[in-house]
Amino acid sequence: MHQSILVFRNYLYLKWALLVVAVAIGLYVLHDPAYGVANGGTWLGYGLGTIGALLIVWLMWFGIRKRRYGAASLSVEDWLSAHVYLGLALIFVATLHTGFQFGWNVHTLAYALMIFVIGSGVFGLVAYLRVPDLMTRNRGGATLDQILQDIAELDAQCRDMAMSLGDKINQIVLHAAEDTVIGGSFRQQLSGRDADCPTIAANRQLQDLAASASTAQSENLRGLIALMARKEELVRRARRDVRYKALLDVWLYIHVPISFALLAALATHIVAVFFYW
Amino acid sequence: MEAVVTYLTRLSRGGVSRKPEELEAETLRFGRATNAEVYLADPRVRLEHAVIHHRPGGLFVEAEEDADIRVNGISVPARAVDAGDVIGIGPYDVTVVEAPEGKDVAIDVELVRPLGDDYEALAARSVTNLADRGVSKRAWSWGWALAIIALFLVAPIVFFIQHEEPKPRSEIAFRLDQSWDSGTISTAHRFISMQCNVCHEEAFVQVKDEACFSCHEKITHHFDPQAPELAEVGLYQDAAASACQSCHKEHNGDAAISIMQDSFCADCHADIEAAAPDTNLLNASNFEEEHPEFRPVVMLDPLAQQSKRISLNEPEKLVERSGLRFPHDVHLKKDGIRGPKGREELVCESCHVSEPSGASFFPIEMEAQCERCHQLKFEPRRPDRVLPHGQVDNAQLLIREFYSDFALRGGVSDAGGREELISRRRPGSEPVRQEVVKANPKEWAEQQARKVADQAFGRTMCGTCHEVMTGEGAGPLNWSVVPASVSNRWLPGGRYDHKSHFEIVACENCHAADKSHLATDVLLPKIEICQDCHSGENAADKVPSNCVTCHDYHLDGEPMMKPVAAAAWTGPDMPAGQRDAEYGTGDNGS
Repeated sequence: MHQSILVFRNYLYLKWALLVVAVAIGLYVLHDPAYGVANGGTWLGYGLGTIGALLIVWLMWFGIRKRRYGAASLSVEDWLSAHVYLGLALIFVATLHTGFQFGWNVHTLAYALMIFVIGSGVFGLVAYLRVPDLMTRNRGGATLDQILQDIAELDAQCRDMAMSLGDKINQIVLHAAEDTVIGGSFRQQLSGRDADCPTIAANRQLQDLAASASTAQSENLRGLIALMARKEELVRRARRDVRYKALLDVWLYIHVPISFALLAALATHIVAVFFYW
Repeated sequence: MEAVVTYLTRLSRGGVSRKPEELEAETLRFGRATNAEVYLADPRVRLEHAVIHHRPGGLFVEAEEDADIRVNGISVPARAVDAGDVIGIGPYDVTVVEAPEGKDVAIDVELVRPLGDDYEALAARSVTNLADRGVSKRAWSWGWALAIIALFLVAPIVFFIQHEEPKPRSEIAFRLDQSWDSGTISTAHRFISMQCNVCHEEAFVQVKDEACFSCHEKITHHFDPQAPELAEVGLYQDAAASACQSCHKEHNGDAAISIMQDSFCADCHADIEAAAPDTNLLNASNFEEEHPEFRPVVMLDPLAQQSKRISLNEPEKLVERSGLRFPHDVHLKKDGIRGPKGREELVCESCHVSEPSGASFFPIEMEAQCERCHQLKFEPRRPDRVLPHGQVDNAQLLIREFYSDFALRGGVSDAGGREELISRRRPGSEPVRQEVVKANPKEWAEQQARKVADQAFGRTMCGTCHEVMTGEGAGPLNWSVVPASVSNRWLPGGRYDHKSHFEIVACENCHAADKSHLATDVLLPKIEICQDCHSGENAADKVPSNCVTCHDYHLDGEPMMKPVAAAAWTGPDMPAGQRDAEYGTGDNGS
């Protein structure tokens, strides 16, 4: 996934979206609500509301469509490009549908959820445009699995090198090998950091020990420190990789569930409006 | 001591490989240190971890400082051991076995818990995928959706069903359907804002007009929807058939609940003849750009009470016959006018008294405004006696009674002579015959009365202010006062608030009273005077004024909207509804 989603088919779906927005704004400006207040209850309000509701259902259909491979005439790229642009156009359609009337009610709840969904979608779009490049550069041609294998190899080397060194050093090295974790909780994956990382701590502790050790000892320590520094670099790289992947995924944890919340709120909104017509 | 140390290694194909080593040493030291007798190459083992001593009593194992050993699974600092005991040192099991002949001690050393695969351990520990955190998009989707449906859809519907009867606001603390409220109720209706079902009587049915009529019972139409001449006109049918809701939308907060746009009125009034072919209305769509000159309702015949709308553009026809004579200019003279206490200067407010609202004025009344100067005295000898105003017959009777009483009390002599020269006129006959009458009190009184109450008196006394009719049938004495028909409102179809204009403009800006010599003048300003300050609804440089600034939609005198007229429609054969004469055919006084 890269820039081509935006320029797809020479901005075909951007043009469609702009047309929708232009028509909506044009009608809104020309529209002269008979009773002086623009809202969802005028003919234009009903019209924009209907278009908005259909757009929401169609946009959500993308979640089903993208799982059906090679089924229809339009490619998934077509769908995604249209999904992005028409999703953004929905902001205009829905906002004009409200007539800028907002309140603490289920109607504005639906609107707020929609904005939330679109906002998360924009986050996802930006992530998909920027992160893969960063990810490739960060990995340096390796996969995350290969990085983890490199780390494991360094752990073994560190242990071997520490074998003849003091118990404390051994404990440090063993702790760094056995308790270093890549990723973890949502927050750890997203931040790409671990405040209590045993590897980073080990590196610092070993350097402190080297400073106060005798010449003969520090000779051995320096080799260990070099290995540990290399390991720390790989650990950081692995965490960055996990972070990038999390950035590519995390918005969907909002985008998808809130979409369904929006669908429920939308249905409620429509029922409520006509229940108390 | 002589020792045999056997290193055991489990083979992957099964079986155990044994690698015995014989050695001689003071003690058996276990550790990672290269000088240890039993070298245990594992980071979980200390450099110097434990030591076995051979003492006269037998073998004795001892943990080094800070190290931890287990004997038969029990953590101990030191203990005597014998064949069969298992010493746990880190991941190693050291088993004491029977020493062969010539040896002091024999042990088997086996790494029972080797370090796992670093990569597999690291991969197992690390969670590198958000999906592996156990957060399910599907579960959250269902959760959110169901929560919203339960809270905002099911709960309000249940509440509605349970509260079908409207309840007083005080009994409803919290409404579960409050989340459906699309906007604030207008101020006028806020008192029922907690009782949704006062208006929303049935689910999925638009608010019915009957709900409005339950309070607004007497609201009237804009025109008579049953008038035959309107039955064919689609616009009227639409307007007559439309529900209250088509014009009045609630839940828009303090924004007007009524239509204010000129365009709504202009739909018909921009080309009113197309909408109502027989109308006497003129086109109007914008106060400055398209609005006819004012056409006041002018009284043409006060006796027949006949009035007509005449445009201010036709000054020659603008003659109001109110039955009064009144020169505004004389009363408003700059140097004043003679009053009961000398000269006084009159201003508009001297006679035109504002109503409390300030919108208009109390009607001018003889007693309140005129009588102070214009007293109806008829007998110079008794200036305290005045005639009752507004009662010609009664006044004539009063004069007779006065002189009869006057004569009876000896007033005849007071009158200064026993003989009077009487001018007498028989009904319907001229000339006047003069005769000398003997001064008899009854006769004298009669003469005096006739003299005072005659036509000339009427002309000079009443006629100062009133038109006086003479001739056959005009009262018992062949003369009477034309009833005053002062127009209370020349433009009854328009609303005008004098008070809001007082502070900005003087009376004479609009009403040229100081130059008016005749009561027949219609002292109204032309529309261009208004247009100096007021323009159409979109004006930027003047006061924006739309149709409803001055005109109402629901007109007095038109049929009630309830019952809904469209339902009662029976076509062009229906007789025309009675109209208020003042409004013509629903004319709005433009």
